[in-house]
Amino acid sequence: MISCDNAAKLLSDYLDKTLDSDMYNQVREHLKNCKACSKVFANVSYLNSRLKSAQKLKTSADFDQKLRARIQSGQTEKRPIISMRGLSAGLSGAAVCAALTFFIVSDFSNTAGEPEQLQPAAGAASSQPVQTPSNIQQASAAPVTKEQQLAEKDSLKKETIPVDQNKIKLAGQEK
Amino acid sequence: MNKVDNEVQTAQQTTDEELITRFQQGDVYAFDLLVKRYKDPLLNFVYRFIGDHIEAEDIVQETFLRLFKNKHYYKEIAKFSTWIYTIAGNLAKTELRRRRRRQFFSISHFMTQDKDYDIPDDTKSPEQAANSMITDSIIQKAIQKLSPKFKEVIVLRDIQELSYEEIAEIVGIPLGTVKSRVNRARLKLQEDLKDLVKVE
Repeated sequence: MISCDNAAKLLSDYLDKTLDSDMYNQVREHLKNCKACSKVFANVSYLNSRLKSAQKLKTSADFDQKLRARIQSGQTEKRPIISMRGLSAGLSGAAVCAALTFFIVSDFSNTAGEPEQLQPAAGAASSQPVQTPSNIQQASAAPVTKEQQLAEKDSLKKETIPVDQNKIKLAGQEK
Repeated sequence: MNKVDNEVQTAQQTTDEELITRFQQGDVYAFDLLVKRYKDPLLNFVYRFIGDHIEAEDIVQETFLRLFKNKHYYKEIAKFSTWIYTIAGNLAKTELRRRRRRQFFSISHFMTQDKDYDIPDDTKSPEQAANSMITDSIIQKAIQKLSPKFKEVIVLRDIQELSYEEIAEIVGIPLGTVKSRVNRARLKLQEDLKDLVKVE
């Protein structure tokens, strides 16, 4: 006779009547002699029939209407997605242009000359030229032209420190 | 038979595969017929799987939305019913996973939340009257307690009454595994409800 474990494994096939006749009879014989397995089989068979006859739910009355609305909104959403792509590309380009413009403009308007000099708080927006040691005398004497301002920035054109040529010793001269 | 009756009968005789082919060719009425055929069975399947009627309906809507958008992905190598149940099943599983993550982080994780839809019980047979403690909602609660892999197969087999072969395709597991899981799910359900069942 088959064991309870084997009978349990064959339960579904027994209920579905898909076992061959020999195996089917072996299970039936087991159920006649085993109260516990007999109860399990009876319970499963009952629950199975309850599940099959369980109340079937129906969708709500406005299901079709809601579905149509979702399909419509899904179709119209395609356009914003495309324009969002275009928008983001445009914004990226605009950001790059703005950054370039900022650097170029700030380069032109920077009259500080020496990097270590601090700009006054209102310097960026101010129309007054920045007062530096090198241009204070010029500012007091005459208005500073743009060319002069540019020249100030160029360290090669600034006043150089006078050098005594006699003090320069070239290689071989010391002898 | 008048023209309308003829059309209704023709619509009923048309197979799912014929309808999806017509829809792929642009016939939106074919899509409407597929919705009419599958909305209630899918609702039952998804509801039994996730236990929430409102969310189940939302998932069924999403299933049809995906069908509408992706109709050309269907190829006649599988039955249409297999395809649409697979979509609905995957969406239901995603919802379950999302809920589990939410529960993990939620303070109310330790509180029980009864979200079951109360299905009216209209059993009338004497045997069922004797088992008045076993209502549909109690059975539904017991199904909810099963692990997703058992829940899915028992709902598809014992409620939706699909064949083992079709379930194997929908779930993506071998036929033998489907049979084994159905068997274990039935035994587990019996184990949980044995004290309430009175069968002589």
